[in-house]
Amino acid sequence: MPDKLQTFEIDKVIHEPARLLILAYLSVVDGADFLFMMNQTGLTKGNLSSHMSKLEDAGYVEIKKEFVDKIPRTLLKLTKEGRLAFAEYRSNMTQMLESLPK
Amino acid sequence: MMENLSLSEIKKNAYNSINQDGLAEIALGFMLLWLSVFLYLHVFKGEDVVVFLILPAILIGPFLQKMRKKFTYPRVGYANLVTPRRTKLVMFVLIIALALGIFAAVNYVKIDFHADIFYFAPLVIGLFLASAQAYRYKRYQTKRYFIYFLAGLISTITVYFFPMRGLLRVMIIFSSLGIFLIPIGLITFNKFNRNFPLQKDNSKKDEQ
Repeated sequence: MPDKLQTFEIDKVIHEPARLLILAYLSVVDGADFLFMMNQTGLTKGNLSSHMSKLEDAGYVEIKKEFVDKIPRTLLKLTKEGRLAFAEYRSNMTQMLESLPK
Repeated sequence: MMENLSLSEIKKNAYNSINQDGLAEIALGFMLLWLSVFLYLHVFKGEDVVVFLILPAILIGPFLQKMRKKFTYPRVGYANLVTPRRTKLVMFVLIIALALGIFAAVNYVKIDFHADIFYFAPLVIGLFLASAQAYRYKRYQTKRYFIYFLAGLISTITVYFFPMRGLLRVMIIFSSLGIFLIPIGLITFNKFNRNFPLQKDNSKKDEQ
């Protein structure tokens, strides 16, 4: 790997396309439920669930289970760390791509 | 899945997903009709203002949320959309200006509805409503907002040249837009319900 590229740390938890899409959606809303995320990302139930677990383990996403009018709802929200990590990832990726020789 | 990964596209998708139900149009349509009734009745005193203007303006938001909880969120899911700071600030300033205006009108001013200032009121109010729709079209690129913008502009310009004065023309703009928005909202709502039928396992999908 060229030296220049080694200076940029790319967060592998975010770098996976599906997780990047999940974080991108959660960064523009102040919380969304499981059904909304499934519809928007096109991920299956199991797939979304497994990615959410990884993001939760990394501390990037908060998963809250609640009842609204007796109907269960799983609210997904980006944590402060998640928002910072996403911003950092974007900045690192932009810098890295700009530093590549044309 | 990733072909549209730009944050502005994602913002648009999230907003349009929640607002494709037509309920906002129905609520806005009824609000405008209600305002035209308010203007027709010429109630500008004390509790009447509270009952006819402030209370409906306060209640419309929670009512819309309640309807969405029942019809929209079980179909497309729930998302708490972030309102940009600038929009919040503009809304805050408008609400304060409106409240101060009403307070001054109720307490200190004897309103002459045929005063010259009201000659331009329909133009200002109509253009404000139309430009709000133009802003939504620019921001979210949804065709129907452009149609609302055109409808607002056409009704404002048409009514402006009506041979009448005073708030009657504002009332006509409000009622014509209300009458235009309610059926469109109902058609959109019907289409939304057909396109996103309520599946029995939608609530179970959420139990992850």
